[in-house]
Parts: sequence; C-alpha cells; structure tokens
Amino acid sequence: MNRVELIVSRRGFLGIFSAGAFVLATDLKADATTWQPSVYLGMEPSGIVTIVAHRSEMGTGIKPLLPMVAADELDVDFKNVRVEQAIGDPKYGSQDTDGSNSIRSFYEPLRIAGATARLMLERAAAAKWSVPAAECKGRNEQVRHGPSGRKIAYRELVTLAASQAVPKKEELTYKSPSEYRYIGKAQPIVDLGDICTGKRFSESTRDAGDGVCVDRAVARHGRKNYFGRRCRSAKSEGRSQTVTIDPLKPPTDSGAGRRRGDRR
Amino acid sequence: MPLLWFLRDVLELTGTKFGCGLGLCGACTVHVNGAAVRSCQTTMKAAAGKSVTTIEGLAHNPVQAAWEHGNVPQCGYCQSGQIMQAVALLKAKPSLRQRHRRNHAG
Repeated sequence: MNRVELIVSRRGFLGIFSAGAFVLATDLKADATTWQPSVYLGMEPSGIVTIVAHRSEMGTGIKPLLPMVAADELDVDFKNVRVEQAIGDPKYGSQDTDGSNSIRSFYEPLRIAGATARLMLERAAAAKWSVPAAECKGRNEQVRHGPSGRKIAYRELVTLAASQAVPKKEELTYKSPSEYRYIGKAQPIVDLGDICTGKRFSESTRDAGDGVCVDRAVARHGRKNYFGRRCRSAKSEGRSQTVTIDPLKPPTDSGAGRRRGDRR
Repeated sequence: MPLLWFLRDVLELTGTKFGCGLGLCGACTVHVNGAAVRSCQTTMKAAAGKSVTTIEGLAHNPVQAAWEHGNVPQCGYCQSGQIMQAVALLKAKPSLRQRHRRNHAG
C-alpha cells in the first residue's frame, strides 16, 4: 500500500501552546487573567507578550519578523516575547506564504496590533491616575505620565487594560521610524538554537492518548517498514483532520542511494 | 529497519531527520564509528556493534556555535545532518581552510 497519511489532532496542536497565555482557534476558554486585544497578540500579567506567527517559516525569517513589527509598535523587549506558530485559521487572514508578500500584506495589521495594545495600556494608566490619556505614553514596557513623571509597568496594567474598549484604527498613533527598536534591523531567527541542536522539528506529538502523528508523515513505497511507518490511528475523539495524499513516486527509480543487497 | 527509524522511533532521538529516504539529502546524517553516514540507508545490521553518534551527542560542538554565530540555517530542517557532516569533515581534515569547507559541504 502506498500512501502518505498525516493525522492531526486538535489536542496535539494545543499541547504546543502555553496554557498560561492566550489560546487561539480552540474551544478552550482563555485564562481569566490573560488579555488578548488582538488575534495576533496577547499579554499575561507576568509581562510576557505572546505574538502569533501566522505565516510559515521556510528560512525567510518571517516567523520572528512580523511579530517584531508588533513588538516594536507595542515597544517591548523582544526577549519578553514568546512567538507562537499559528495553526490554520481564517481569523489570521491569508496564511499563504509565498510571493514575497508577507511583510507587504501584514506589516500594517501587525503594527495595528501593537499600537492597539499600547493605546489600551496608556488609557489604562490614565484611568488609574485620573489623568488625560494624551499625557500618557507607552515606551520600554511601561507607561509614563509626562507632566508628573510617574511610571508604571505594562504588566501592572494588564487587568485594567482588558477592561478598556478596543480602539478604532483611526484613534491609533504610531512610532516614528527614528524610534524603531527592531524594524529595519537584522535579527536572528527565533529557533536558531533549537535548529542547531536538533530540537527543532522534534516537537513531539507522540501519543499522549490521542495517537497524534504530526511528525510522522511518511510514505510507504511497498517495501514493508522500509521507508515508513504507519501512523497510529488517532482515536475518534479529538481528531480534527485526517489528510490522505495520493501515493508519491520517488524522483528517480534508478536505485540511487540504495546498496547492493537491499531488499526491494 | 533503517538506523534512522531505530533512532527516531525506538530511541526517540528525533534530532536526526527524515528527508528523502534515498540517501540524497543528508538530513539523516549521523556518525558511525566517527564517519558520517546516511542513517536512512544504514541498516541496523550494518550498524551492529558500532558506535553511533547523533546530533544530540555533539554537546556544544564548536561547529554548532559557528552555525549560530553565522545565522546559517534557513528553515533549518536539514541542519542536524549538515552539522553532523561538517563535524565529521573537520575531524577528518582539521587543516581545512574556510573556503574548502564550503566546497565540501554536502
């Protein structure tokens, strides 16, 4: 039998996301202390910002770069940002990663996400201090009230910010290019250390009860157990998608790479 | 069973990757008795009694540090194998200059 089978379970993917941050495209309820002003961005009371990378990383660096746009506009240290790879969901917009269009298409939406969160934090600080919001400015993970010099960390405003109405796009203000921390500057890919140690692409979805096989897309070429391995059948409960792909043919049947004596 | 499958599915050492299954891409490269081999083409019989080192066994190798310093990977999927190949090459030919290292990659 020749087939490629990729079995995905919703619970398997959810295992990748931090339960303490915000969760996307699932039926789970977000933690009551988590603030999610945008589908792309969330903030925990600890100050950790989770930004979703909704495009596919294929070596172009888009996984850190679009999140950095949001982080720059929000003005947080990228060391305090957790980049999480999105699953497929229409709420993120097009996730079709080709044609060199990711930055062109989503530079503005990610700036809006960062600017929205920053404005809500500024308004939260203004409400806390009973001062005009226009006198409050969010920079370096804190809001400062210009006239008095008072400061407060973003993380201390998360709960109050969550009670603010999400502003309209027309209300937002943006950083000037001279203030950019990350935009326009070279940045390493976020998974560099894990890639160089083999940990990347090893996100194990080994059976925790659901028989998830995300990293076990295999091709069987008619030689029993030679090229592949049958994925364990996922239980009906929790399975979100099964994709069966028509049999693939090797690029050549010349025997390249095979040694004499290998069984056919 | 290919060595690659034993490493990944039995020992759960998933740092070594399946790429082509034909010994062409190098993503599955490990060291057997110090030599770089394509584990998808190496049978367990062929590996019996020999020392096998995977990417997990490099333990902060200078090549890995160089890879990070140079921001070498793109998507990164095959880099375990490329690093293993480079480590074996430099061990066999320690006098290689940097330009020679590029020419021998893969």
